[in-house]
Amino acid sequence: MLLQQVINGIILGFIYSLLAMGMTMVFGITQVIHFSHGEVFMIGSFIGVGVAVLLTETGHFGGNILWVLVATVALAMAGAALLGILVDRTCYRPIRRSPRINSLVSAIGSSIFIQQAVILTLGSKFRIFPFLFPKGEIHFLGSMVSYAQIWIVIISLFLMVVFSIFLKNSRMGKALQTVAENQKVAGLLGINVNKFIALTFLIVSAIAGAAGVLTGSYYGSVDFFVGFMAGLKAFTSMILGGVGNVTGAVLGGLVIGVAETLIGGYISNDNKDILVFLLLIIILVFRPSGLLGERVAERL
Amino acid sequence: MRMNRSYLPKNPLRRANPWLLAVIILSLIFPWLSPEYYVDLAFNVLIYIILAESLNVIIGFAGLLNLGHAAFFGVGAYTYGILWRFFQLPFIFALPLSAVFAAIMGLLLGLPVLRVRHDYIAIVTLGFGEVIKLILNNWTDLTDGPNGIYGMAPPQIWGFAIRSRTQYYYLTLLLVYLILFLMVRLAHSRLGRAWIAIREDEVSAATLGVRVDRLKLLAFTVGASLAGVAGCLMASKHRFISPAGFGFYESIIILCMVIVGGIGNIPGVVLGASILYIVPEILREFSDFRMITVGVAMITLMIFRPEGILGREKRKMIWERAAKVERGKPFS
Repeated sequence: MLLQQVINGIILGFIYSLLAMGMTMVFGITQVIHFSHGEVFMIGSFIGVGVAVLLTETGHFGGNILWVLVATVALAMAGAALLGILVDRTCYRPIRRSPRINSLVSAIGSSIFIQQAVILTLGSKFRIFPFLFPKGEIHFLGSMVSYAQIWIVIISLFLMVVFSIFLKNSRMGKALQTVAENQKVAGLLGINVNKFIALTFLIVSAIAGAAGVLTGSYYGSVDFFVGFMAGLKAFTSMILGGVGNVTGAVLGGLVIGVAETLIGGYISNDNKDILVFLLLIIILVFRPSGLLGERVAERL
Repeated sequence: MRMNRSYLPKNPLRRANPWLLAVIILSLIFPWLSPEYYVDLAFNVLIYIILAESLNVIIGFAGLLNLGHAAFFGVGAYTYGILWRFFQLPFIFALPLSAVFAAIMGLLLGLPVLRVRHDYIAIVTLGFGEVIKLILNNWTDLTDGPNGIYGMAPPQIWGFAIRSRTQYYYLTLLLVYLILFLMVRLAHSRLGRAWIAIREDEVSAATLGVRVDRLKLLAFTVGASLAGVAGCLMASKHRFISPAGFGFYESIIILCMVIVGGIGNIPGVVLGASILYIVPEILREFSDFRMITVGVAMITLMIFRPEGILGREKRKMIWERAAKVERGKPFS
């Protein structure tokens, strides 16, 4: 039973990690608390619903569910990436030089805007997300892992690994690290800072879009409000891991996911969010800069 | 040496200020000029003015970001609600108790905030706000959960019952002016200057003998107790409270009121609260497009007037400098 809860928690944690990773990247580079990241995730989910319903109804890919999943994820990533760049261009770039709290207000404004735009165009009712994973499960040690969970882990890990290889080893990734370290110097070295910030938004939003499809399909429904709580938990994970630290964000996401599921399973499902936030406050009191905050000197 | 006053909010009481006079007169005769419905809205505007000013003590004076301010509002409202539900405690006794309970909550939130640094304050306060809202929602024996509490009696002050909208309006208006006067005096007092010193540079303030921790706690206590007063008034006027009104969204709106008006600027915050409450009300006709307009307005304002409507350029420094100083260190 415990193992089962931990497994479910890890799945939830991977979703939070994918989002927290993006938030922490954006924060590391632009010092903006990217509040509408949850909304980008939600839009990814909605694009996913549209594409998945279309593909399953028209019977594309000969009913091969995995191809449908891949196509849905790809399209949702593209749509979300576009939205992410748009948010950066309209809400963050014009106030790059203003104090941090202004970008927070602007970010909240963009989050309200996207939510309301979804309500106006698609309505406030939830949509049923088709189940895109192969059915079946593996049993071991008395607990059960479904293929859906395995696929979520595989896709999440794939995105994380590709992302970190890109960041550590590619030319562009190194340029991105330079921008994070010092924007002025990066500019003097001939790096187009705004372009690289846009690139950051593209990457992290694409990842959020993928996360949106995975969660939507796993839990079976999507509405305009899913982004809010997911964004809040991702924000929590990011801070828990130590702001600006990608490994920390992934760890933070897993901790929050597992803690939430365990508390929900063993203590009280209604009060789980209370205990998660209390736990967070307690952790921060004893480790004031997050789990990996102090030790890690480099940002990315 | 003369004191550099440029950091302090301007004192609107210094000399006869025609704007101030106009606003006071207009607010006094307002109930005669307008239909009852608008008096109702004006009452809500006054409540938000108290809330925004109380948050301004924490953010504007002491420079501590608070994303959970609605929790104090909720604690104030529920103090009255619960005391009414179990003991039928009259408003006049509940009002100070609301302030006291909210102040205790402020103290409780202040303690962990002292331990954590800059950006982490955001998450601690946010988490605290969510915790309070969820407790109000889930502790059904005490608060009756999502159903809320209703039927509180109208306040009796020396045998005189406050019932009509106009009477509520004047009662609240009186409190608002009291609080505004307090704010202006506070900003220029020794305490206010110490808070501003903490906001501008914590380390320097400490070396000059400002007791940073104690004053930060005090800022939270003062801000929270005022929000508690607003909560108690609101509960008594609407005769109904439910946890839904005290969530994160509410906190964010109050925060936006402060920022839109100009952080730390007392008349600015009044203006910010009025605008952010009145504009969505005007747009009620186009109710579908209401919130989306608010979202766009927030973004536009931050792009074209980042210091807020009445804020001064100078205040840009607060957060910017903090960011720059931290840059030298390992990322925090």
